[in-house]
Amino acid sequence: MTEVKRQRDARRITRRHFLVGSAGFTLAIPLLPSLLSRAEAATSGTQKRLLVLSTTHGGIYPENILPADAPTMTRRTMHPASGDLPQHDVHYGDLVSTVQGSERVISNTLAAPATDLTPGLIAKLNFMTGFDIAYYLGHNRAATLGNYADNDQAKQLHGMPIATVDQVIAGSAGFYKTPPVKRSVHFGWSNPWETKNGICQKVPQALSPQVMWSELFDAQQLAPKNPDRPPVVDRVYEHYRRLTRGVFGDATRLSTLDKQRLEQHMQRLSELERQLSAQSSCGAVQKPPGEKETIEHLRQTVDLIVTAIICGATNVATLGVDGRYISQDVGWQSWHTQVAHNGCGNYDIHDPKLQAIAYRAQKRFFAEVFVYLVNKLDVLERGGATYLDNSLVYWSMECGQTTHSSTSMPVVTAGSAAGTFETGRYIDYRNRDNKNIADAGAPFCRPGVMLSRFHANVLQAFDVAPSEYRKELQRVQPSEFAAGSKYGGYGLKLHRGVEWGIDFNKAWVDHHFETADDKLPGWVKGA
Amino acid sequence: MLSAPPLGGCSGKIGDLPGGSGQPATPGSGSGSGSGIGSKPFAFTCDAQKPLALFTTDLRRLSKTQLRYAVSDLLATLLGPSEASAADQALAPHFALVPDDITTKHSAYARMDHTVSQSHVAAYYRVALNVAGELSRSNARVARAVGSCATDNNPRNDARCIDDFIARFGRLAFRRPLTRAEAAFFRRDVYKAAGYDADALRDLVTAMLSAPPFLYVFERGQPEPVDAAARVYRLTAHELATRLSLHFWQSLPDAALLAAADDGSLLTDAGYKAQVGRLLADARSERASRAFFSQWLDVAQVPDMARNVTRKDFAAYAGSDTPGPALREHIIADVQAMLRYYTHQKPDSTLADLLLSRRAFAQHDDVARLYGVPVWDGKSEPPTVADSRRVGLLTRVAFLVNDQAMTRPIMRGAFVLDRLLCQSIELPDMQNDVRLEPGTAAQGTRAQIERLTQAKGSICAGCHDVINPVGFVFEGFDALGRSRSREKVYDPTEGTLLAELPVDTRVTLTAGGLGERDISRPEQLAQALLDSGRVQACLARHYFRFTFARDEDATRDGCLLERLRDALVKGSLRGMLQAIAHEDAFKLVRKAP
Repeated sequence: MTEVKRQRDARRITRRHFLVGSAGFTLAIPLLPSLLSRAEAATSGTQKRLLVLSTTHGGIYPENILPADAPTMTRRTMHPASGDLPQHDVHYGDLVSTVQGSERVISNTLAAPATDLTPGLIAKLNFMTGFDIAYYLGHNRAATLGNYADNDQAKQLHGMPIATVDQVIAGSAGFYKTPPVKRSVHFGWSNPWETKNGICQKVPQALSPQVMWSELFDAQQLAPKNPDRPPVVDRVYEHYRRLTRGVFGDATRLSTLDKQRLEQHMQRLSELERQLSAQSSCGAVQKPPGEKETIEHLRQTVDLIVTAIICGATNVATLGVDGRYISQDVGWQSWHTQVAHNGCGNYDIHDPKLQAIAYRAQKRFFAEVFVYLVNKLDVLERGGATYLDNSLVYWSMECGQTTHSSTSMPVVTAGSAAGTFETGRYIDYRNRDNKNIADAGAPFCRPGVMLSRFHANVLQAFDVAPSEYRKELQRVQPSEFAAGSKYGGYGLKLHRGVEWGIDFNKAWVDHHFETADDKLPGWVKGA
Repeated sequence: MLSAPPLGGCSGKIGDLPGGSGQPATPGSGSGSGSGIGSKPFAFTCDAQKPLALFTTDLRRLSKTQLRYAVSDLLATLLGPSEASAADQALAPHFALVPDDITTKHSAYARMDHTVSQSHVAAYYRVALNVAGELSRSNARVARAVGSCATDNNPRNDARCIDDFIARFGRLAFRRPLTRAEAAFFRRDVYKAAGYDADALRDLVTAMLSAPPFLYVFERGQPEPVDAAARVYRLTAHELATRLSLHFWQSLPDAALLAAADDGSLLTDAGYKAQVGRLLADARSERASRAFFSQWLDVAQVPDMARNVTRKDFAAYAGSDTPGPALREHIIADVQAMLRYYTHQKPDSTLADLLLSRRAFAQHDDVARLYGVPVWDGKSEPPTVADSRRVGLLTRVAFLVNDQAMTRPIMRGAFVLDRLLCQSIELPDMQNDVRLEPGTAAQGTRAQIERLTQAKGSICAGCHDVINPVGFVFEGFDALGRSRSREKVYDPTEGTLLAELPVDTRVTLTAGGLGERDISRPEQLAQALLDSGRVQACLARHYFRFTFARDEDATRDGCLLERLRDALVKGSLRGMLQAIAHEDAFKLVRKAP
């Protein structure tokens, strides 16, 4: 029996066991059999889940985050040499790790207790690098979800938000044939943007596990109690409808914008009505105790998200974590100005002690939140596959290899999205031979593929076709993404030229954008 | 990756107040030359020939704060104070689910957020449902809210009882009488039951508090336009009542204001003036002024210092003033108490009184200790601070603290430039990494910052020559806001005291419009702000944004802005708060197509 199988067998445990939260408090009463059979019956095929985790900053140098190459790495050509650009190959191989003391170590950042980060779990992870945004965003709050508009340094993009990938998926009829209680849940600063009627607006995030609990498991309180009376939310909807039609007064005195706002509200009322009739497959779920801005707070949120997935209350979740949760070494303000800039900025003048603080903070997140989450999900769902197997969990950081840079963004994935993706790999999409944009500040800098290609692959894995997600891009970049346009991917088409003496045309060229809908070799099965 | 940009160019900019006259706008740059001592104070350009700027806006919703107060005041009217208070408490967890209004650096006021997301709609429904539950929780409450006709077991009077409640509740919630069609809808299509029915009542209240006329602010204007081509109309009496009550009370009109709208007296000069004065004199006006000042001064940025007490250097630095979990809240309350004092308790107080005050307003022991004063009871004369350097708003602990064992003069300076002078500071080029070393025995904070950011000819100096001096003036106060004459430097790891260094607060101010001047004390900075006319102008701009939930256009709104600024120069803070309601822009609406 292989180590992987042995560990999988060890996880053949009940859902009840699963629903014990951190610190041992019981989250949920066991499944109600009658509800379970209905819930299961309603599901045909395998339900995929998407969970996206983001942490602020980043700027972890390669020596501290990249795994070692496997003894055997496959090298595949993605694009032949052209002009100043050398041939671009992807490199991939097994994700290797070693045991050092009580930890299993993939890299300085990707290390966790060996009892948690087991070989069986590593077989379900990937570490990927080489995802780029060909533009200078500086600090940003949703690039890891595909929206580049919320940034500090590219004001010209502020008016061009697009729905984040979680919202595209959660709103897609291809993904949700029968939506659950909540199409998606959000915690933290990840700032997903929701598009309705072409109006892109922020989706509020739960700022505490208690609030998330209320949204997921207390919605039944809102359901109608008296079966002899029509649902009042239906009457509320009717009021809005009649108002827009002038039943209560002259509708011409409503402007076009007013009517749009009211119709948007009506859409939300429809969705609310649907939520009130949707049910989760669990009984009462206990409200978590309160914590403030600590790792424990995050773990409670993870517990709730996992409970929501197991109970069928949602299938999409995002968790955005800012420095307050992980910067235990120094206070948050100083962490930003000192650690992030002086530890993760220009390589030639960085302070290694501050870089260590930075990667230890991300390591803490990896070990205590990411690995915690994926272990929780890695229990049997059905047919020999676990919830993790049927999901895609990915974690990325605000920045790539140096603070403020969006080059070589790291992505750690877990799960195969029901067999869509390969797992257990280190996949390097950087063009290792292209040193055109390396300098003293980042001697290791190598351009890779577009981050928009990563997001396009995610969307396609969740049954959102390019024709569907391109509509969102057409809204904000109608020229670049006009019908018949050669450009693909999910993300604004942005390209920087010559800046600060560096010619970025020698890093990214048209083919990077033209191939951005293509499946990523090494990651997508069959690609 | 990217190397640093070439030297010689200023990569950041500090923008000055636009639209001024009498003194040219002087952007901070390079050597930071100001406009000279003794220049004429700033004034907005007012071109009376320009048409009044009225901008159409999206259909606004109640802000979260306004929703909370509207429900509280509704309950108080219907149930009386005691039952309403109990109901209010029971509703608190449901209000916690209403998403917070989003404020950002560029959109600083909650009223400017008009987002209505799925979470908003779900939360509004939850609140409405639970308000209905609270109203009908007991027969006593039903009798109080609906009338004894609902609970007297006499079905013959039920129909009239319900109709009366619909009319009365609707008028309160919608801020105007219901139309016949609305009343019929709620009676026939929502309530549905023939007589009194608890479920029907709950559905009715839920539906009315989820309805557009409650959640949104409809302003259609009177039938006849003031300017047909520009689509400008006078607000109706009820719309004006709503604007007044939402602006000054963050809530619904009370009975007296509604009555003034009903009988039309609100549309007369005398009636309007009387109502404005009454609203501002009422204690409920503190809700709006507290919200305005708190958001203007961005008190939400005050850090939670209790998180860092386990760090050795911070613990040593704090000494016996170790921050507790409530300190942040008390620090914010201190600022709010000061502003309340100079706006409501001493209504004739001026901006100069606020900026030059020698008083302390701390009502909690942990903050009072930081000032070195006794706790203030909130009513009697506030104590005077012994340290003569502690003068005015800018030396409140809230604007001095950070969660490190060292001060942050750059942030202190940036705060003054941004919030009191409205000088926009563009973010620096983030590629310029400089190493700010932790405390050493050789250098204090000021010396390190000057060395790193004000080196002659460096790209950082362009902005930091302007920002830093403003912050250095406050170096007589440490990172907990305590007075000091020496800077204590601690080892960041062990917390041992490395050195005590003299503090130097002497600076040459070069911030645009203040005139180049040498100062060393905070009250000299405050006086410079006042002399320039710019702090008054900046405050006027902020109050404009708070009132109209949009950014001002310095050209088209120039006359209004100048009147507000002038009101601050010549009169009281409270006078400015009131003056805006007498502007034409407050009483008109421009309808969108």
